[in-house]
Amino acid sequence: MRALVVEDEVTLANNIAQALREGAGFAVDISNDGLEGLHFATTNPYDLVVLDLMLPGMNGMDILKNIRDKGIKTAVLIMTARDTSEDIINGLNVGADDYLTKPFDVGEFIARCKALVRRSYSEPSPEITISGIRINTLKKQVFVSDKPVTLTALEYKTLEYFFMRCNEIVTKTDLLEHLYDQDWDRDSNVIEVHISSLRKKLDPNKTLNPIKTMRGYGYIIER
Amino acid sequence: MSSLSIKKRVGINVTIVIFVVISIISILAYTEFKEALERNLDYRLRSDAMSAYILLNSAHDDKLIKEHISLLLSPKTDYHLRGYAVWFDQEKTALINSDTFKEIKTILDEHDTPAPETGKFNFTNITYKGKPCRVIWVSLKNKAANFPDKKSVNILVAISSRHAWGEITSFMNVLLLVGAISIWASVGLIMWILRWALRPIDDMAKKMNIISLPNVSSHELNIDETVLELQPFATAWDSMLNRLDKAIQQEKRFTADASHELRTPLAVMKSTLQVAKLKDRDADYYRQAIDESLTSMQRMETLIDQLLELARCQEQSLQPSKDEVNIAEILSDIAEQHKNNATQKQQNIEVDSCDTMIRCNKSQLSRAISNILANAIKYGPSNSKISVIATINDNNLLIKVHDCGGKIAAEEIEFLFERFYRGDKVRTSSSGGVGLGLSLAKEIVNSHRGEIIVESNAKAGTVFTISLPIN
Repeated sequence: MRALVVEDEVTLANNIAQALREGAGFAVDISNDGLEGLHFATTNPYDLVVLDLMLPGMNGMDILKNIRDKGIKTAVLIMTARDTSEDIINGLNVGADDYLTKPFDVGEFIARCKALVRRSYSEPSPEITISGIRINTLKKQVFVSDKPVTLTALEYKTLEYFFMRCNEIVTKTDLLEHLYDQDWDRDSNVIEVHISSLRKKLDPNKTLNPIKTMRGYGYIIER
Repeated sequence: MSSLSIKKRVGINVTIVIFVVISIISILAYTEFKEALERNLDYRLRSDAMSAYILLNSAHDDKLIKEHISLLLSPKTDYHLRGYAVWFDQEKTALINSDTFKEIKTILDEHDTPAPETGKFNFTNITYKGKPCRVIWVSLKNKAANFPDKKSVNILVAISSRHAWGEITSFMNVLLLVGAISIWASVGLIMWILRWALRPIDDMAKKMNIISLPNVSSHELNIDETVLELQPFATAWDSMLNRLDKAIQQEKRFTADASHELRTPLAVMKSTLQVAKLKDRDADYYRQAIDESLTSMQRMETLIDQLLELARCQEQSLQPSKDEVNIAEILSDIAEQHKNNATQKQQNIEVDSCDTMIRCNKSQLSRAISNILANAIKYGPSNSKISVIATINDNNLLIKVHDCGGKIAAEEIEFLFERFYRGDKVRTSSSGGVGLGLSLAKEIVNSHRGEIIVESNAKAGTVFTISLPIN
């Protein structure tokens, strides 16, 4: 999952990014300016945008309007330091999916972000089971036929992303964009390596074949 | 009187006026009526007396004279008492007299009623047997042929005036009744008129009554619908509501801004500490987290200090400034205070001040200049010169703080003095400002009846000019 954090307070933006990386395993981009934030949000496919309302360049509410006007359906969580319900109501009406008032609890923030992403992929439950493979998105555990399987962080992220988009073709570009921070080297064949080791761990006997390769397009997990 | 309602004030006053007017009319009517009745009585008495005199003169037979005069002056039904007597000169016995004569004559003597001069009438009111009587006593030249030796003849006629008094009394009763009714009616009418006339005030009060705090301005009175006399009041009320609304909005915005500005460093601190706790970290990480938290705390502390300063300044702006201070001293003190900060950025502060005494609140004015200078140091480029110049121009003291910083955009200058405003460029920088310094400076200068002007261009840098009236 990849998230964008638009927040002008540098320290706070870094903290939020770190919380999302460590607590939710998201890839995170940061922007400290409203206009730059809008540019990022409209040019990259994010699973979540965390948006402060008081921003230099362009305020959060205008960014949100712009994003929604362009038909981008990414989940947006707005953060505001004002606790007047006016801001919150406006934000939700313009198209935000959730809000938090500063100062917020980091644990609650992570949980809300995860819930937003799950919901945006129509997966309201933190536990998802597809063809005998069960993942718990809260504990980041994977079970095959009820036996626990140990995955690396990146392998888990890849699998979770496949689960969120089950029955859809996931391209290599999708995986790169949603799993890695912006400054990752995209030319490496790291994706193929991960998919191959994931297949070995999930299906050592090659009976289930959960991740199918669609030649020329990408990969697919079918329910 | 102050607690009396308008209705009562007008009502009482008008009632008193009506009462006085009716009383005066009553007294005049009473006097006139009484005089008319007395004139009427006097006329009858005079004509009786004159008739008796003519009879006395015309007849020749004593007996006939007595008979005629007795007949003329005898009591009639409408007068319950009628006394009469006719005598010559100062004689003790009368030629003709009624039974009551002696007594009436005695009463007249008791009252010391003087005998009239010849040819004159003398009218007197007396009380006979508890009853009011009017008496005519006339002394005339004797012309009776039967009594040639007599010089003058006295004629006295008395009649009861009780009947007349009865008329006066009943007239008074009618007058009192009419007066009472008219007072009662006019009070009622006045109250009704007043209620009708004062209804616009009641209506206005009803409108004023429903005002609730959050949106004051929605309760403005419609001036066009207000009666002419209340329009100045409605205008004043509306403008007061507007001012109140402005103040409330300002206060609301200030509270919102203040809470925003406090919440942000609080959020930084909380998230820093909570992220640090997410998993085990090394000592360096913790140290950095602590440093970041301390920075946030420092920011909150500065903010709270400045908020309090601002509140205090607004409070003090109501009091006149007392200190008489030398501006050169203030400026050199401030320059000294900021020397360290400037040196850190390799900036040089130059002070050039005239020796002028100025009446001001020293600590506040120092704070204002200090804030502007701190701003110049913070946003001015490194390795540059900042000059502070004080001059006098037309009874105004001009204090200029000039830095060689870049141009401040014209649209930004407008907001420069707004609370919590920080230019886009400096918002994200770690300048440590909280956005209150300039707004505080402006507040202070305004309370000294002065103003602050900002001029900025790319070549010459930025000049903040504080202009203060010397007197």
